Amino acid sequence: MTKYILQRLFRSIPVIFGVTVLVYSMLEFLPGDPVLYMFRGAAISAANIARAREALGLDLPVHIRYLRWLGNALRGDLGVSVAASRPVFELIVTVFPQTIKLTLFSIVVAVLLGMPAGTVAAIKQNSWLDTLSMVFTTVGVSMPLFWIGLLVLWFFAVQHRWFPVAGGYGWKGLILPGLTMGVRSSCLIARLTRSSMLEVLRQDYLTTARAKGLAERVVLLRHAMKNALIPVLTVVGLQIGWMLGGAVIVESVFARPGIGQLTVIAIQAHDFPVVQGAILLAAVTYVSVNLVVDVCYMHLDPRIHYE
Amino acid sequence: MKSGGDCLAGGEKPGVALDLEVAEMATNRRVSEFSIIFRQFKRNRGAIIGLCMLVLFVLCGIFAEFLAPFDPLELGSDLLAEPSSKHLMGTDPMGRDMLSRILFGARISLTVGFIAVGIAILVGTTIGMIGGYFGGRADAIVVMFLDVMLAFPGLLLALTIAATLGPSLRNVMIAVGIGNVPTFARVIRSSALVEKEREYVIAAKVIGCGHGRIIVRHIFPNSIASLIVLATLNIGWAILSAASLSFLGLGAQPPTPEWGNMASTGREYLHRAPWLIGFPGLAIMITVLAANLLGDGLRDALDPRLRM
Repeated sequence: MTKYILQRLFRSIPVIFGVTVLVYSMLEFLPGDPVLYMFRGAAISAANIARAREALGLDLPVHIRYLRWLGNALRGDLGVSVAASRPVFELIVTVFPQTIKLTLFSIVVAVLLGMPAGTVAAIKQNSWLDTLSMVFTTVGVSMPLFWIGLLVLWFFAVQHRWFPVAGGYGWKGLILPGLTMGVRSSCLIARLTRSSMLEVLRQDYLTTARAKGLAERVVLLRHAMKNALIPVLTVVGLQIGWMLGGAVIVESVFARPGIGQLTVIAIQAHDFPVVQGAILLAAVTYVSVNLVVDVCYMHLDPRIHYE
Repeated sequence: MKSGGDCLAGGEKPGVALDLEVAEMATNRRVSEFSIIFRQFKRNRGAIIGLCMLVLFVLCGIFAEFLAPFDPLELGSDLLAEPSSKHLMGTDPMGRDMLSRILFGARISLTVGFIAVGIAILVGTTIGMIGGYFGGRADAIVVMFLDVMLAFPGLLLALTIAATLGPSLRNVMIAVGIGNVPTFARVIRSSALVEKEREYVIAAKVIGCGHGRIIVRHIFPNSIASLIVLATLNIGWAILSAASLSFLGLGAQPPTPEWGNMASTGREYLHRAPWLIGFPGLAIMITVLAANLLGDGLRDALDPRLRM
């Protein structure tokens, strides 16, 4: 077990390294000159532009700048925001907890809605409940996230004024964006739970369990659920990752501070140190979440052996 | 089926009779296989509905000029008019007819969807095939590359690429296409990994086929069914992603009648003109739903292995 975890950790190092190369090289080619943007409108001489370049280290060759950036990043120094003139790390650390809160709330909503819905649909296959939940989830996964967000905002904040239109930090600012992402994600989880449950329900060991006289409730909850939920766990992990990406849209719709909103604003302002930092953080978080999910997976399913 | 003995009794040459029979069997089998797929597909009501809706939207896109009551870019005097008999979907803050913009938007969204998926198939198949077929170091590099791409959660890979290339519709197609590469590459790679060990591939090698011929003529055809299903399912995803990027201001720029972009304009008028976000979102939802239903139906009919 420990060996596997160590191996898995070791294998994610090159991935993270690749991510840093990709993030750095992509944003190296961002359109627009950050120095010109910094002095937008102001009349500056070529000498001053050169001095600013030197101060920002933009005059060095790419690979030197990459290595320097990577070295600093490992020490938690992600550079200075061009637009806000503040350390990127500080900007990110201020808003990241907000995104984590949103993601956790959303995944709880998604699991609480999706798993029971999928299980009931599978147990009562071909009933009106099954049809209803399948129609609902099929439509749900086809809806753009920003549109669900706008509809939610329109209904709860504009029509009924139950919630503030623009974000805020407290509980009230968390509910609408969390519901938006959670409901959308619950559609996928419900569909997967249903198909996974249907697969398990066909298996012989359930007939055995029934034959030895176990109550239907015990057969379903103790015997079927346990195996059916293993594949669902992977998707929950993937959904957490999806939410880190989805936060870009939801935070933008609800004007909620977070890593996603920070990224969008930074892209619009050509503030590439911030974009680099935010995307790097999202990728590293995602890789770590997948690692944890893989380890849980092995712990839960004794049939799986990793060599 | 006639037995060999009967043929001989009829005084025919055994070789000819054998040839005929084999040929007949082959055609019979091909027809029945296709009809099984077709019958399964027809039985799936959702898939038929999806196909019809998608065809309808494609036609809307192609014939937008003839269907649209107004020029989608023409500024009118009715600003933010509510849906009425003159403007069935109302007008936007510049007085442009929403229905006309939605119809032209179908052309843009579907084009983006198809091209993005085309890019993903082209790049994904090439990468996947190289990794799966050649194995060894090539495969290690491919897997590494895919792992890195998959480390960007959800929309973030496409978002980063779109941000790098700059906001335009063309760049969104490239970004969404590349963002979708791992999906195709992984399926092709695993299929190539299995097929290259099969006896018929070894036989092809023995009679002197080159790598190119083996890949194109022998290994690739095995993946076509999976590719069709994946491509259909991914069109929906591509349209969603492209609309989301445009919504964030990274894609089509105003005044292009792109659905995500239109919804983004509507944000500021949420309290006064909810139809500005209602109709574009509905259009995206129906198109994506159609592609998903069709994809699900094709998957069930063509490729039971891909079933979730």
